[in-house]
Amino acid sequence: MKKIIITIAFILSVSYCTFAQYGSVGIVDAKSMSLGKTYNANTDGIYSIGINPSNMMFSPSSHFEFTTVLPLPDLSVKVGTNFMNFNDFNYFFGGDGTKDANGKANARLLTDADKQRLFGLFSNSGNVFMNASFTTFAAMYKANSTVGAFGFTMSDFIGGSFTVPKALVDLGLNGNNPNQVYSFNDVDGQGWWIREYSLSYARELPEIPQTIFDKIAVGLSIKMVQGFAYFGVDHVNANLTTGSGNSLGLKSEWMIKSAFSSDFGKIYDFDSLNTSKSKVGPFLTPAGTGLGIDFGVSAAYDEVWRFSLAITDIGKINWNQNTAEYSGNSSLTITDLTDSTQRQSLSDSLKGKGHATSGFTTDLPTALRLGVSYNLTQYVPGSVLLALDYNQGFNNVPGNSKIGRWSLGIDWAPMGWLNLRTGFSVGGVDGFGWALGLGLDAGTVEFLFATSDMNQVVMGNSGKMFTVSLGSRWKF
Amino acid sequence: MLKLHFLQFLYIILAAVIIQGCVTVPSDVVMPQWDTNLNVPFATKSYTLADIIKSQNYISISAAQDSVFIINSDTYSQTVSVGNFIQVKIGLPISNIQIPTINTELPPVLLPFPEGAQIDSATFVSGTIQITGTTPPTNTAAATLSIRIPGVFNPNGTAMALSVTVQPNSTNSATYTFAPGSRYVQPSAQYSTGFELIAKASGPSNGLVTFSATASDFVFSSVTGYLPTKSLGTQNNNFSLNLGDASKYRGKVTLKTGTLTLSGKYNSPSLKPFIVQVKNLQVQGVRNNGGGTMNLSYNIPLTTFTFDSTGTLNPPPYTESNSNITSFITFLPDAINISAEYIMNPDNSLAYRTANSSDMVSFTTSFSTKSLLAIQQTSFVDTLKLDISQDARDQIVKGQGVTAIADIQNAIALNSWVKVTLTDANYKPLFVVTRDTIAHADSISFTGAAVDNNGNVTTPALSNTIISLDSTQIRLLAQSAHYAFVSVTVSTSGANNAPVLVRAKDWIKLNVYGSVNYRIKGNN
Repeated sequence: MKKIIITIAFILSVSYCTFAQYGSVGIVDAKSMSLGKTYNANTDGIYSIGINPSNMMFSPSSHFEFTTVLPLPDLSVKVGTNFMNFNDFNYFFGGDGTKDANGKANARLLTDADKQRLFGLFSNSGNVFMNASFTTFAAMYKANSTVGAFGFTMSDFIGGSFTVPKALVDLGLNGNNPNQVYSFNDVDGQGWWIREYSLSYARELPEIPQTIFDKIAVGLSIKMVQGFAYFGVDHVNANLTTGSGNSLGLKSEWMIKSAFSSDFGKIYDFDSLNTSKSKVGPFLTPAGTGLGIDFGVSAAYDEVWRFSLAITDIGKINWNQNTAEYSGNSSLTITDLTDSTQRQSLSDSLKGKGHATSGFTTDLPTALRLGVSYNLTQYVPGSVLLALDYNQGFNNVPGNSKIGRWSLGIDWAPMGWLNLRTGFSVGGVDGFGWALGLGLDAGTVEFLFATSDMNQVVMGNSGKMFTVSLGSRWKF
Repeated sequence: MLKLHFLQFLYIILAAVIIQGCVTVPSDVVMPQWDTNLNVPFATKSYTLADIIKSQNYISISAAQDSVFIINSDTYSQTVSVGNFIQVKIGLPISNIQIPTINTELPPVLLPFPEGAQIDSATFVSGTIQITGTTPPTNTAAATLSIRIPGVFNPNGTAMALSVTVQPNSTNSATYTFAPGSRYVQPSAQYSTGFELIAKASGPSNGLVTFSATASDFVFSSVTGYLPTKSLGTQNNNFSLNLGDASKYRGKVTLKTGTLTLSGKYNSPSLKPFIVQVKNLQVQGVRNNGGGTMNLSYNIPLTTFTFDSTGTLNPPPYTESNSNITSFITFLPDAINISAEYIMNPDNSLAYRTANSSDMVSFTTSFSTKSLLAIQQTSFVDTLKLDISQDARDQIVKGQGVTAIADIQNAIALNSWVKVTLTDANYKPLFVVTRDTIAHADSISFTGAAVDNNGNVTTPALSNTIISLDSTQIRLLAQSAHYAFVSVTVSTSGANNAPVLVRAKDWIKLNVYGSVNYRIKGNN
């Protein structure tokens, strides 16, 4: 059962996901991904939901659109690290160029230089992440400017990251040096799988007397959030020192919180009375529930300008089913590895103990979103939209970052059926990213394909991450 | 619809190009390997001698003497029955006692006890009194001689009586046999020792009977009186010792102290037993297989000891000051032989004492010494089987090198050197494990603690040893080593091999640490 925990935790921790529109840095729909995740003042229709619901009012009146798994599912995936590119990966994990008798690659024996190179990759700690988002169904209908627009989405987000402490890599590669303190306080990890059911409404506000903007729209989304799995490092305060006589001093104070749907069956090793089997299906019994609110306002000016302000994902998830804490708090000195009591203490200290809890809460990825877009159609053949965003997360839950992120996107439609999109993003957790995407509009249905990290793609094996996003939507 | 299909096709092509065209990944993902150096504390141990010297034969710890080890031998005992002593057999006859046949008791005639014994009272196991009567030719008819002995009773309590009929000019005899349980108590009115025979004769008038008498072969179950000096013979007993590994220290150990005590006891219900003497006592240590013997002796020769009047013997113990006891103990014999002759009433005292057939003379000896000793440089070897599981061997072989530093604090006044040689399954040496890279020796040493003039530990000794194994040796250890030849050499650390006091609380602390160069592999 522990393997199940570890497997799920790993999946969650390496999946740093985003479906649809999520958090200040999370991956979004294919169209927005192609614009460097620039979406605040340039989205419309179903892609407004989760970003700024008032943007639904920028769709035509009597407009209906939806997306589902056909003809292409709305799916975005991002996998990577912040420390190792494919060249590094191939070098260290691709063998030494020789084969054994069975034709399998022989492991590379690292030289001192190799170890230095590998350790150097972790100079800024080692973060591994994977995000995936999937929209099962989304639909939007805009009646007119007075009645407003209505939207509904059902989206899943699986995401997380895990930070390998630099000291651990140092220990593994170079061993422990006497009198050096190896701190593991930078270990971090968090992941979850949640599903949002979102109801959105937007309308213009002709009741507000003003002459500055062409129109002002407001929107509101209310989300029911179901959490199926959560794994998070609450805190870690741990270090290792090698003292006199190579005595090993280990201080370990940490806590991990988790919650899993009961449909996963028995998860926890301490839960001896639970004999249930896994019965995973499309609709799981939630381990946590919550409510979230998105609120946004947008305005159009002089027919070419659009301004957007939104706060999204205000709310919490209350994890109260199948919740547990694993923790350890010890300070010990190992002076004798032949002493079974000391070895057992060390083992107990590292493993910690788990117990069921009454529950805990986690914040939704609350973010402030600001955006402005400008339509350059009068200067460029076809239609061109230039958009600038600033997204500021208020926490560091999956998909969000307290580090602000700026992005710039350009959407050019040289022909009516073809959209060429690109964009740049700086800040957040990923730093710089160059996005590139394509939209192919067949009239009723639109195909979207993008990557928000084209710079990684063109770097080839020098890239550290891989991002792909695709989708389609039906428009009527 | 055609446009739709075209766009779908274009989309798939773009996706394939972007996703797969720019990145190459290995066909086999395999974890790299590397060597890492782990600095670890192998062991921190503290042992007292009480931990090391487990409960063994003859060794105990004296709390009263600040945890000095006491070596006590078993108690070796001889027991001798006094049965031979309480028997007097050779009679002293009387003869030519003439008695007229007037059928009247004559004054008593005294018949001496055998061997000159003087008996106040006795219970018989056996014995006889024989009377022989003779008549002259002048007797005209048969005569009857009757004798009674006051104080002699049959087992049923009846008085003893004896008669014999003698024809004229004839000789006839009668024997009285003391049945078991027969008793004799000297009559209170009798002032001489011996049987008082009161005889009378009947027969023809003017007849005469001449008789003689002998008392002999007396065996008593108890007797009070005087019995003449008698040797019970020489008793010889052999006692095996279980020395175990201690025999390896033969000729190497010098003890400073030792005590051998002797004690004897005349075990009798009597309050006034006979005096016993132990004569020609010899305590001899014997080594097996012709390894020689050694006698324990006082510096001033003394081999005879006499019990006191209460039946107790407590001669002066053998000590290091009056005997060769320390040499005797460190001779470390495989057996101890004790022989002695036991003499009853050695002074032939006429004083009346009591002895019973159940009386036993026991003689006991035991020796002890304490751990104040000197050990010359002594070596012994052993072969140990290495019990290493295959899993453990699989892990060991990943080691690329190990360096172990041993910091040793030794508060035991014992220098020691240890050499360990690993061998293969056929006992062929592989390599020496204990190669000291500091001393450039093939053994590691533990310097003994400093001691004062009395052998007491004053300062623990500090030693430092570094042992290194390279990858070749580690591979041999993991793949081929099955046995270890262990050679240990020890000596006490007193100056000029002076004795040192070894206590159970003496300790040694080992702090072994170092580094292990280990190859990390994918399956670690």
